[in-house]
Amino acid sequence: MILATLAAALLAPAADPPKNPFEFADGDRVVFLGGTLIEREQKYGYWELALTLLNKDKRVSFRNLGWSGDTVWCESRGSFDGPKKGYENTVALVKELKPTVIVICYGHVESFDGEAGVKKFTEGLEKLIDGVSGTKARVVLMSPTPFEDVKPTTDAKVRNESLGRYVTAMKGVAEKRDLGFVNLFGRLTVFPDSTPRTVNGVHFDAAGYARTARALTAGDLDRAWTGAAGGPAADPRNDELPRQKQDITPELMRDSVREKIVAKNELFFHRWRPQNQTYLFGFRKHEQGNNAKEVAEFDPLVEKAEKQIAELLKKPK
Amino acid sequence: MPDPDPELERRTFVLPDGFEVNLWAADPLLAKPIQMNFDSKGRLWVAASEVYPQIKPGQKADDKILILEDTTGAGRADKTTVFADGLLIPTAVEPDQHGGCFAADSTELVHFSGPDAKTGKATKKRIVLSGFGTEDTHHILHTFRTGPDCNLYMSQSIYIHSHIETPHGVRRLNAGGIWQFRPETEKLEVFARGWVNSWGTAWNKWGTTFATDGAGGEGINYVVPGAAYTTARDVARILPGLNPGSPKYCGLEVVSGRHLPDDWQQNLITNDFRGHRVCRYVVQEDGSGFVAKEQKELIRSTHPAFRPIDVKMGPDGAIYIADWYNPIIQHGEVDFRDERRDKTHGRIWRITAKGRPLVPKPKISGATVDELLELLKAPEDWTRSHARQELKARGEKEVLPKLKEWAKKTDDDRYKLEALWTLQALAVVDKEFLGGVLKAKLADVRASACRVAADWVDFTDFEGLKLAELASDSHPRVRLEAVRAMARMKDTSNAIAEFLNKPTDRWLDYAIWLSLRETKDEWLPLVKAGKFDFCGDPKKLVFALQAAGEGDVSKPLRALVRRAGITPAQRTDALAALARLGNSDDLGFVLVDLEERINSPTFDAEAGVVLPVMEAAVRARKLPPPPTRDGFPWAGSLADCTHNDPGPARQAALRLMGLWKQERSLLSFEKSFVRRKMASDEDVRALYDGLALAGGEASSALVRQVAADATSPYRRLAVTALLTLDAPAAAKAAVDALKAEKSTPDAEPLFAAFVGRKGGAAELAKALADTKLSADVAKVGVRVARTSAAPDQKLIDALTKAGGLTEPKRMLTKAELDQMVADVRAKGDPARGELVYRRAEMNCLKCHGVAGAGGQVGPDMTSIGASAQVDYLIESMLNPNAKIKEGYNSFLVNTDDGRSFSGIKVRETNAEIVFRDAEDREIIVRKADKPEIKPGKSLMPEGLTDPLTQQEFVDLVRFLSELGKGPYLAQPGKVVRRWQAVLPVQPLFTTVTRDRVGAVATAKELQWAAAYSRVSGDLPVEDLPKWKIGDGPFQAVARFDLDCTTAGKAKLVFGDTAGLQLWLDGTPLEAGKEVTVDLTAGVHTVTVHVKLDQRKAPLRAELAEVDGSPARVRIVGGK
Repeated sequence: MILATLAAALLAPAADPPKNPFEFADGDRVVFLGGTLIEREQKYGYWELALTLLNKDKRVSFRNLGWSGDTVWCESRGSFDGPKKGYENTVALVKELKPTVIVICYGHVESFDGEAGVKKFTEGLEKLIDGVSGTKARVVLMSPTPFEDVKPTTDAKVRNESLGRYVTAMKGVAEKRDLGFVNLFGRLTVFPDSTPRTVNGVHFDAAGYARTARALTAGDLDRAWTGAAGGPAADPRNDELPRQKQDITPELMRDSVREKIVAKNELFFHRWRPQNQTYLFGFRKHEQGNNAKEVAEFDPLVEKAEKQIAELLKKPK
Repeated sequence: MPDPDPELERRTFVLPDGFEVNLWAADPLLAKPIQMNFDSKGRLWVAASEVYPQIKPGQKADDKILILEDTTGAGRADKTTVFADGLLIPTAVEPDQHGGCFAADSTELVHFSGPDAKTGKATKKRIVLSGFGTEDTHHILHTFRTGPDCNLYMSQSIYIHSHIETPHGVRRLNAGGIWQFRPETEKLEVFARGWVNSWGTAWNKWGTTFATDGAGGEGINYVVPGAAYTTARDVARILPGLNPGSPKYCGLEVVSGRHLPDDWQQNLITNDFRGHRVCRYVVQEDGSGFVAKEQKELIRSTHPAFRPIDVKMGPDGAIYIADWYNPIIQHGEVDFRDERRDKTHGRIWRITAKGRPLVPKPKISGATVDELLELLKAPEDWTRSHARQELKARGEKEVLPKLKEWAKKTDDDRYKLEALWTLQALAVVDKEFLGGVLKAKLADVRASACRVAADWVDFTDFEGLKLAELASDSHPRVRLEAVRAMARMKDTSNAIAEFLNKPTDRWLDYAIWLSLRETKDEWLPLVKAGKFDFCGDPKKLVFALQAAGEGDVSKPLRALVRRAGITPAQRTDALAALARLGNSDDLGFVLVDLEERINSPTFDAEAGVVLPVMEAAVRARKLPPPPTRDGFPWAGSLADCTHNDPGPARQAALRLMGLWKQERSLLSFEKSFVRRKMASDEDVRALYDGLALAGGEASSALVRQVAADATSPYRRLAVTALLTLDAPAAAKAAVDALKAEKSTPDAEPLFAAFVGRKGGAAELAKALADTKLSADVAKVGVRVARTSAAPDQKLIDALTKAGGLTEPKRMLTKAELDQMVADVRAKGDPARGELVYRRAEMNCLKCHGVAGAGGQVGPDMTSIGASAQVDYLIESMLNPNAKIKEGYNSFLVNTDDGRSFSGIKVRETNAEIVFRDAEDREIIVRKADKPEIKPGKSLMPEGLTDPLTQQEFVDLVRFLSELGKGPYLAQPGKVVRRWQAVLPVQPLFTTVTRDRVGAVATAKELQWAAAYSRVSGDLPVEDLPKWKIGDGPFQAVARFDLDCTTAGKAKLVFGDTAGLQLWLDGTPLEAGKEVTVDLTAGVHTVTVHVKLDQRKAPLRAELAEVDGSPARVRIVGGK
């Protein structure tokens, strides 16, 4: 596996400049767009926790719009109406959230198309950036994470060769447009771990997100993790289900912040991707559209959860 | 609300003699069970949701996976373990062999494991797959089952759009279907698709797959790997279910094991959850497919909350039923927050055979490998499946040596298949062993081995296995599974076509078609380049090109048409294929070629096939006329094609003339044939279609002239034609015609023409200003106007004024509605209501069938009363737009050529969309033409019940509310429900007087209208159109069709035969209470003549089996 990742490292673009695009301003509203990698993060919250702690004096809020299987063309977001409408809906939704920072992370799905798909990827990425540019938000491009030879994946080398081309293309777009670029692919390839980070060669479980959170924030990492040395990366409990609450210790406070983040994300998920869309907003809304008003009632619940996160962050360590 | 006492519920259950039912588990041990599966220890895992149908803001998603256990062996559960909680509407659970389980959790497939020693609750949760759609919470990821290959099979339903990233790339399914998932490799594929809401999947002991549909009406579905079913949009062909006209079914299980009687083995059990019934089907082979015959119910109940939704065989050989227990089903029509929704109850029922011992619970967990291998011989499918799963869990290293030894020791094909499946489960590819099983004596075993071969394609090359040789296998289903496996391999195109050498049937034909289509990238380029032609076999070449469905194939097809020795039938097929797929030049070639045989006696038959295909191709692909050049006399050939007898060839030719602006040919036809009365009504209709399409000056002049001519019999056709040329003029002419119109049937098509034209309704409204029409004509107009998905209110207002009509009230207050519900219960008479439903002018049966007889525009009504609340029925009739059934939402479509129609989407491919309109016609729209498609209202027009008195309305609602219950339950069995009756119009009288009454059975040009039996199966003779010859007695003729798929003897039971004369395909049958007929494969017509002076009793015909006969016969239903 190490050989494979080293080989990929040779292909990978050079590490990006030191300035961390994840240093936020006071009051920033950060929106994440991406596929499974982003979607699942909201269930574990380690990446968001890291960024929250790194910016904890700045009242930053996060909205995760990850959607499994998605591409720069919003192929997962069209529901009954297809990708074109999915793109329009996504742009409209992003605008509605009034973001000041938009993090765009795509490429895993597209990379299966190989070299032939790079051009289409670049076009889609630019179109997506153009679409959300009306928000005047700062756009940050974030590369996907590398593949690993973890069963059932056995061709990480080939996969990463392909993915590397997409990351290069993404970097090119970032440079051309002078956008922030977070090269997770490059950072994780250059710093291989002794044990696999993924569960199947591509996807993370809780431990995977916890251990890679460092890579998001690069050199600023230790400032973000205020707990004991090693932080949650070494915590073997990460794939366990929530247990009984114990006394709040500095270390556990981090966990309780993360739990709140996850709870907030769940509430927001019910807000933007509710079940029964067909009946609430779709072509059968004449039947249950009267219940659509309930969906907006998640807004104050999301805000309340965010206040609780802010309270927890204020508490002394 | 019913009393929730389970014993009260149990007392309502009616079971067949010799069976009993006991309560195995009930609330508070569980609430709201949705799906269940046993683990190898005999514990029952249940996915249960109280959050369904929709989470409330502030509510915690806390649904559960429960484990129910009978720890004392008392025959009922005594212990519940909450294995997992915090789920959001989990709709499926399947335990694994390690004390964990897979569960469906909204957008995700999750895996729970590591039960806590003390509480039994899972400590670990892993997301396995994510991105399943949630557009509808009774469509989300559901119905987990382990297949014979030990893969996990999962379903999703029609509204769901899933986008799943796997380590092998993204998988998408924007439709209903069954997923196949192998957890170890994370390989995820679509196994079959296209159902509305497929909540039942099961395999018989040989591994043949069946499915049921909880929102489709086709009963048991025989699943061909990779096939598409009833609602699949992006395919050209689909497969039907085995029982069209069935109620919706939820859950499916195959009966097996020593506890139950021999004649129950391999029966299918499913649930009519709306009708409170647990149903049983006997499945029999029929060529490469099956027939499924419904038996007496396993449970019949009148309890309003009994909702059987899942069924599983248990480790003890008994049948277990999950009862969701809810007076309200689903959540489309009834409010999410309706307080009648039950959130706290749920039952598991256990059905056993009286006096037969239960099966001793097999030891699986903790058994040795040798013991597990012996269990692969068990008679119970349950035991074999769980032993296989346990062997898989033990792993290759421990199992493989012993398995090989075990397999060597047996000559029994059944055990060889078990060994093969176990190898498949262990992911051990053994080509040699597979080769042996492919040669098994039992056809079922060979068929299943083909499916394993398909699964192993990625791991080994298959030269030497000689799957292609199975093209000559004696059993059609082996050929079917083999050809589906061939599609997964490389360089197989010619071998796939070899499967056409032996006779095919519906299923096999589809499988070969699908396999050729899936492999077209391999062979089509070669065929187009003229390098490959399926070894010169015209049948194969035409079949393959039609399967590919792509143009640019003129070279091979033209060569074929001109080949010496081609038979007339082959040439017809080749010309039709060229007409369908070719370019304009090819179409000209076809016309010139056809003309060469214009004096041949087979010309009408040949051109009657080819020209309609050509017309459809020209319309669908907007093909311009063939080029004009020297020595290419296509225009003359086309004109000559109208010179023979009236019929489809002539009519298609006339419309082609219009499409290609052959104005002179059209006018010449009018002069030579119409004026000389040598054209049928259909011919003239085609002529006017042609004139409208041509639209030149001379055509317009003729159309205008006839449209203004009050004496012409073709005035209406001319007005319709004028509509496309000059809408205001047509509207004026129409109003003139309508003012004179007294008979409403003539007015209807005229109104329909205006409503069916973009802007037509508005023009007609303008022309109607200050006009008076007869009230009846105006009413017809309003009714037609309302058939649009976006009715033109100005037209309705104009008609209302012109006819002096009043707008009836259709919105009821809450109090009025309550009163009406009370009236329905107290004063409604279902028998009178059925008469109202059957009235021709009510048009109910035109769109809503009962038990498969009747139109299919709207939902089938078979068990509506068992699922719908009375208030819902009333509201739906008064205001059809209030609630629209899934799959029945309509669209208003405006095409670029000015047509406007309303329809529901039937299919959709990359190139076109197929709609079904309110007349049950399929209309194809090309996407390239950028049609305007707007979501519309219900296709059911408002105001259908306006003509009814209050009492009639109440009776009608009462009838609907009884449908599916008591005497209004359409009994299973084979009673003829859809008849056709001859209409008393010419040439009937000529036929009867010139020949004899028996000639009606075979005469071609007669007109027939549908006649439907009552729910009881009787067809009242007074409902038949009656007629007489001279002063003779009144008489009537009715007929029905039988579809025979395997030849043999069958019985027709008529009961009373007074006044009846019978024919089978024109041959007289001796009228008797029971008539045995010997049928060949194909569709047969039974014609019945009724002497109305001798018979008052209703007609009734049932189909019965003859002992020992192989015949597979089905009564043809539909509209």
